[in-house]
Amino acid sequence: MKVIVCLKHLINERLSQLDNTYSNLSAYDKAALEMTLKIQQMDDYMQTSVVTMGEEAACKTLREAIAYGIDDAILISDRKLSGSDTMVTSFVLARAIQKIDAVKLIVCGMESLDGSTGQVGPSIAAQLEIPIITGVRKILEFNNQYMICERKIDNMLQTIKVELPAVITVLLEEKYPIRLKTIQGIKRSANCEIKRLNINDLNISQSECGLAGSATLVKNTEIIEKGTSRNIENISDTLIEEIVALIK
Amino acid sequence: MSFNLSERVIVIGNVFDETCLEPLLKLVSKSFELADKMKSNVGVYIYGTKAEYVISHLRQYNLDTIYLLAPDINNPFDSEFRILERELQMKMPDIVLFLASEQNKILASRLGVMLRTGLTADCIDLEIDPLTNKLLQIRPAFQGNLLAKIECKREKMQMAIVNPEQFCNKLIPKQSNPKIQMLHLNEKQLSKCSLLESTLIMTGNSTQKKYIVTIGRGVSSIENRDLILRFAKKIGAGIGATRAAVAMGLMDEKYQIGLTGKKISCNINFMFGVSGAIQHMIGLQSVKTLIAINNDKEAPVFHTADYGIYGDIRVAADLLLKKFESTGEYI
Repeated sequence: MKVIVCLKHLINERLSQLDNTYSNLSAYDKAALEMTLKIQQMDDYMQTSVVTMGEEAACKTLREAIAYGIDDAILISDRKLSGSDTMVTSFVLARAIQKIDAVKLIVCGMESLDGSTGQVGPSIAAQLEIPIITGVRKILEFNNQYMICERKIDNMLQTIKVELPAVITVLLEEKYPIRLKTIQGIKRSANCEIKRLNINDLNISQSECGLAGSATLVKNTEIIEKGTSRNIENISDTLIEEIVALIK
Repeated sequence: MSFNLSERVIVIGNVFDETCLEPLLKLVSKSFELADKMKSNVGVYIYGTKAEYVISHLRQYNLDTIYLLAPDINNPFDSEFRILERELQMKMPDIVLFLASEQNKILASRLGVMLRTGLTADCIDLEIDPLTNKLLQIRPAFQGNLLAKIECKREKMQMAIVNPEQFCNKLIPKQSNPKIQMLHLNEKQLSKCSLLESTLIMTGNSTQKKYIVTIGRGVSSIENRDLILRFAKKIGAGIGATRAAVAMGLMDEKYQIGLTGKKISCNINFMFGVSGAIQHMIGLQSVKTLIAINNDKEAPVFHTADYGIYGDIRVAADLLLKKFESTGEYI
């Protein structure tokens, strides 16, 4: 049995240093990682892999996952993948996952911290034509055939039994912080081999990926001037009037 | 609007709560604006536990047909997806708009992959590109420091998930009697998921409002909080809280905004005593105007706020409340 966790290596330093740990993982992805490690502990024969799509620098994040206790790591990296939208990203990840034997579960964060679409998890499930359960907060039972889990969706808390393989995204709750890295893990992470895949390995043509393969196109971007246009002002009648006028 | 126009704009609403009505009406109103430019009609598809309630309100507007996706007890996780996959393939609309919700996000992602079409998440504005006639999907990116305008490459089935809080409902009630068409799942399909238990949780859904008033740690006392909440009620605003305010016991957890709470996309957010920790600010990427009121001149919130008011929070809240009390209601 194998569980795969899909993580994103954040490149924005300000974002990744949110919790002063100098990790490039977001809190969403750490929740996904912690959930994967919990499942790993449920069964001695459970194998775990971490998969990411990104530049060579993403190896740092893969090694970090290994330090926490993940068994092995795969990096999908190819120049031609740059500019991929959520559909292409999920297509490429799904292709890589299909190459792995005996996958029972794919674990993702609820969304990324930079793009924050939350579409990649459900799209991987759609690409593989397997069930998707979002917002999972607890796994009550896990075996070769099915899994029972508790999840939050909109205004509902549901307990669901789902046939495996399936994809889950993990709800971020502050009550369950990630565990500490293990000594063995840290040792192993330093020199373990990371498996690398490019688009040829996955039988993906150039027109199917990157900007060319994406179904959406960013036409233009506009910088929003925030907080620079005005000074901090003391409370005054004119200021209050101005704010009242905003609402009218 | 006439009966011979085809439905080239489709709205899909998941209505799980009565509070979904207001954003849905805003989205339908926006859809008519887009459809008018394309000389087309709008098709509205509704599913969810409050579908009947929402349809009873939608009836008074000038729609030809309202489509109701019938829930399937045998297949609660797949029926909407299967029905819509069939409908969209048959109608081949130009634009498909999903009202933002967690369930609709799954539905949109699955349909996007199955129909091989582009999907943009969490749009806060929509336009028709005058040159290409395509849908311009506008969404914040990079912590709200950028607005990205995104287009789908194909002309058919340009899909977007929309947060309609900043739109206005311009629909005018008319004497009309739309047809309600119930859509069922034709084929019997076995689901790979089964629902064992389901409980309703309080979500503090009031964040789907045009205005939000947020309570931060700086509010510091119950008296101040109550004063601010009175102001919120006066202007018909939704309520939010920072994690610090929740930890202090000033506010309930269900109001929390940010990384571990909700995201908001209102027009104006009044932030009382909010320091501006990035974990909180992440939830505010889609807010149009931020007004920060704080008694700490060094608070980081002032770097991102559009209006920074320095001074006693109680005095500011009192002044605002008085101004609105003297000028009447603005809901």
